[in-house]
Amino acid sequence: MTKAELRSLVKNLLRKIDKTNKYHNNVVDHTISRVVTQVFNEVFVKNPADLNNYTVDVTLTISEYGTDTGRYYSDSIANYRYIPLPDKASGVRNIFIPPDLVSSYGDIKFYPMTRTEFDLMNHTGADTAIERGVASVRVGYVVHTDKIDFWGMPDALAAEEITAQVLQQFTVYADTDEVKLPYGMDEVVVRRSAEILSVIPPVDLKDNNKEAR
Amino acid sequence: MADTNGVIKLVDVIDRFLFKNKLPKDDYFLYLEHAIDCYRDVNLHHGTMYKQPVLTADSLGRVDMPSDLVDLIGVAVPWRGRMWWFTVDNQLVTTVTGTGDTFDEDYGEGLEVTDDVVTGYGARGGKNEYYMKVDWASRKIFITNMANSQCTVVYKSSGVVVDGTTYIPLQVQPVIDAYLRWQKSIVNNDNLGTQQLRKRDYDEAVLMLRRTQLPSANELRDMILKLFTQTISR
Repeated sequence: MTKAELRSLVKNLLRKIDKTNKYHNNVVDHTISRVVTQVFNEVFVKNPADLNNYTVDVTLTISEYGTDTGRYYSDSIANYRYIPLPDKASGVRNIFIPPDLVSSYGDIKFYPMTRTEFDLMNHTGADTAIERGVASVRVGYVVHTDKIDFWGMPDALAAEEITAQVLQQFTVYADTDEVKLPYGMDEVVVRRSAEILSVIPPVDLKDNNKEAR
Repeated sequence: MADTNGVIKLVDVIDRFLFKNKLPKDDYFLYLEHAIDCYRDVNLHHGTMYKQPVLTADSLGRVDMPSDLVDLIGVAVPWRGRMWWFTVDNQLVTTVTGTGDTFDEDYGEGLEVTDDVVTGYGARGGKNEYYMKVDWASRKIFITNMANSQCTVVYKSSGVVVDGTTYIPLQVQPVIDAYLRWQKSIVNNDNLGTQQLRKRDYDEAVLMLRRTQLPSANELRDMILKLFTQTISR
């Protein structure tokens, strides 16, 4: 189901209080978005790994803080407004090497970490063991609202583009995009959205040819 | 037809641990840190892995300990196809009080060890040509009669390679797995019963590792036969 179809379905399920029955698309979209976020959190509680089925791939370009600092970040997720979740990866469920780079960097793997871990990692045993500069290096990433910080990113890989699987918010989808809803939860999303919207009556219920103020 | 490798990357051990236990990737680095602790302990207390670089003593007969040395096994020089081991002698004079980095012979530093040294005990037993004394504070090994010469330093290392890939023997993997489960139960504040159970699992994994390192039947046979002295058969 596309975003436009889902929105239309919800609107058509609302009570027809009068012939105008106006609900702004943004109001409907944000209501559905709230419900979808809630549903994904319920999936998370059952099994976080299930969320991998509903992500979209986002290409991450990598930048360096200052010059020659060896610290890298990506702000490519800024436009995707991921769904926040209560684990380290939050809405950025996975980061991986895209297929065209597998031959060069295929053994590099990414793991989420907190900002606290990011700060504590220097001079730990793990710091020495992640094999900096070696093909099988393990890279940590910290998810912020608008960017991702990398820990242990090899300099060579920083010049490439990598892929993130992001659980994006409903409002970010284009009208023609297929919306990824948790399996079996379509009806729940539609019903809850309609319930929330049904308590908001249309502004003008009087048939007196006057605008309500 | 080849079998799987007998060694495994340390970083891959954690991947396999997460995979086998259906764990999220969140705590990868936490487990890696614990795995490093475990491997260092295994290396030091239960394993048979050691390093034996050939190092050169300085003009005073001192050898700098390698930075990854955690326990010294011994120092030796080759002699007729075998290693000739140095004898630890803590009575050696190893202070360096001369001008600059030199011995002060007036104080008795750097003098050749002679056999007529008087000790508090009656002289007995064999004598060695080479003696050594370990100075842990300055991480140096003093050796006699070997100034500017090469010797083999045999030691146990921390086990973790800092400039490349750390490989571990495959038989250590069950020990690390058990250790990680144990540490996981502590970190997660599991009840004491669970923690003790995990600790026991770890102890048993260590015992299994040690069992693989017991002498073989052939080695035991050699040990026994070495005790016999051949005589004329009458």
